[in-house]
Amino acid sequence: MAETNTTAPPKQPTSGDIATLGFALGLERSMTDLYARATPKVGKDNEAVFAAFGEHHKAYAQSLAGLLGRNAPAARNAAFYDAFAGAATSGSAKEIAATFQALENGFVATHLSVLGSLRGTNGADLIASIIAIEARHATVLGALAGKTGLDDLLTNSAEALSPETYPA
Amino acid sequence: MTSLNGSDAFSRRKFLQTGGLALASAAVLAACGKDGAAGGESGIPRLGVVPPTTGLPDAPVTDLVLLRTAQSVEHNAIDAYAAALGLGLFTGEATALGNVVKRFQADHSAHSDALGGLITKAKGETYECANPQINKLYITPAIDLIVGNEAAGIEPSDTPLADLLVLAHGLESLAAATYQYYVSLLSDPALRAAAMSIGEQEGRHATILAQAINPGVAGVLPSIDPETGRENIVAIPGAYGSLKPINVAVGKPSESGSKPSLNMETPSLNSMIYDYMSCS
Repeated sequence: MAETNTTAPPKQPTSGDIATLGFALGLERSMTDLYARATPKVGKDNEAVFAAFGEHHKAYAQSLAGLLGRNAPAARNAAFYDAFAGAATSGSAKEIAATFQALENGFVATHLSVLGSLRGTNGADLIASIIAIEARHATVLGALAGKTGLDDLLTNSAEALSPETYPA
Repeated sequence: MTSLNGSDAFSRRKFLQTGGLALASAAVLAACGKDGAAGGESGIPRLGVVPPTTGLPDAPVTDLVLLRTAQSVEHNAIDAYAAALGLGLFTGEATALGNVVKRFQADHSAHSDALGGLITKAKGETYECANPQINKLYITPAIDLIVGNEAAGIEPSDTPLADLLVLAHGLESLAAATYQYYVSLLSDPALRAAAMSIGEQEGRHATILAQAINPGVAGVLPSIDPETGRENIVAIPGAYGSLKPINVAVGKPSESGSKPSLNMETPSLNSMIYDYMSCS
């Protein structure tokens, strides 16, 4: 068996964590705005779901901003928002749901990558609690998109978003 | 002769007084003495003999313990799904649900294998069997409530298939919450990510089961059952993953109409799979 862990990890974000969490915060702000654009376009039945999911992302952004304090970036990730602003409102309600399923899956992959690099446990706990629900968002959105195959609802083949592709 | 009724006679009252004092003194001496039941080196008086005790092995909560515990939870799910499939309820219109159960069972086997790989890589011993505490506290009682237990005087549920789905949802939610909780305990960031990559899958399972129980858009966001006053099982129970106890209501309803319920909690110190434990 491995040796006992004797050094407790830090609670607060380390200097290395701050940049990583800041990237995640910028993405969450962008997602909030994307949901706000899409919600009026998805029909009465789905509107409440999209509005609630948008509020969840807003809450994630606020929690991350609270954790980072004055190190928190003030703006959304413009590159990410610009890349998906068109798709967020294009097509039928089912097509928009499919777009957001892909975005949520991308966020799950991204946050898993973030989690794997964080040293501070406060940030890790928060990111884990966000992943838990964003994965559920993706499954619901897959169903709203009319997908019924289990692979379509369970499998996440999305790549993690990177600061190189979507610089803050 | 001295009269037996005289002032210095050994009267009955005096005999009782003297005898009582002697007994009390003996008791105090016995309690304070060094022999046998005495307090020994501590100086604390006590009566009786304390049998020697065997302390529990030293059992720190390491990353390996957390991974082994997670693996045991996967086997709880594997076994519970096997038991559910063995009841023969997934026929006819429920055949599709049976296929979902089989898929989830296969996923849990894959999760166990993945955890086994991590454990072996860390030079630990895998734990490829169910967590006994979770079986004892949650799964066995829930199954009894669903199929009945004559010896315990438990009548079977009127809606066993629906109850099985509720139990499955509870177990998936428990597994998801376990991984989320363990992120705060794992010291290695790479293991935290690995744990949540499995945990998010359990959350997706729970979401699909929630939709099977409460289908459609109405079953997505939190709501309250107006009849029972309880929270409905929904796909998205909140903005953040919850670590609160998971309420599972299954079995034959009482006269008031409410089903018996139990609260499932993530494995903590009394239900972890420590290094000294092995499958038996």
